[in-house]
Amino acid sequence: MYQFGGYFQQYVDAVLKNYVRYEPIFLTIPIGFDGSTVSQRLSVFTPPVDSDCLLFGANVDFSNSAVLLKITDTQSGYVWNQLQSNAGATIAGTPITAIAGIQTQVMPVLPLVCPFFLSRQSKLQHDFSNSATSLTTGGNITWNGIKLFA
Amino acid sequence: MERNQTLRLNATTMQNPPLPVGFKLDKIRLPYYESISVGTPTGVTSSALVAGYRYLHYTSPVNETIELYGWQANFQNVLIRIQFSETRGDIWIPFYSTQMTAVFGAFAQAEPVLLLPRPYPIRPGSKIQIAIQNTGVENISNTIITLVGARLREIIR
Repeated sequence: MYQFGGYFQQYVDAVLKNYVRYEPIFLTIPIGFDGSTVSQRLSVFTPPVDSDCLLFGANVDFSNSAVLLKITDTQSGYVWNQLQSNAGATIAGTPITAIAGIQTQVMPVLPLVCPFFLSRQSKLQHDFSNSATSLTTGGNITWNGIKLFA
Repeated sequence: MERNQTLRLNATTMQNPPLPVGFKLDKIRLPYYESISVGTPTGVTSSALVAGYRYLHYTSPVNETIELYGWQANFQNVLIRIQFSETRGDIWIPFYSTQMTAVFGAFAQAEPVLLLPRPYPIRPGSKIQIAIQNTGVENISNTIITLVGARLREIIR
């Protein structure tokens, strides 16, 4: 299957060719849902990293398919999500279960279709929206990848 | 005219994403998720599939090729039947006989995103028509389906 970018080894090799070595990296970002505000919206960013990274997949430590997420690469402005509202019903993001694995499930880290290159000048902006009915409290998202050393 | 020149003339062409210095490939894939709120709107943020109703939805037309890898839904019900076709292609499912569980992955399953046998390129401007029918007797609320794919981007040098 496509576990950790198996589809695109050529892309990963082309990126790695430009670096001397790499090390695993795990970027964890606390979300900070208060657990009491309905549909609470929060923006959190990946922590600063002093090297380029290739991100392969993500995990969250809660199980709530009504939590929505929109991701933006701050350097290029590329937004990962296309959100289609339905007449008056708008959605603030993609259900988290389509982007990140859930810790209690068979696939706790959900791989991206193709690894994402995160430049050291950039960050990923995560725009979270909590559920309107069954609220999540706290929450963390972790990106699983490799740190690239030039 | 070369492909790159065509792209430069296109006012809606996106800028290149960050790449390593010396990167050689001409095309890269960027993450692409399209989430669609399906059914009857029931509030400002939610929709529901009403029992017995049929719905038609379309993915958004994009000016780059989208590679479709799989589908995910934030609900699962074997009584939901679906039908797909492509507006600039052919019909993928001819009848309302396919249950959603054969197409859409769910987070509690081994494959949260259920993959297609092979990635399918949705050509620029084309759309996937998604017909959904709730054949059950109960409404299903908070219904969002997600196309999981990659945006194929040509690197302009």
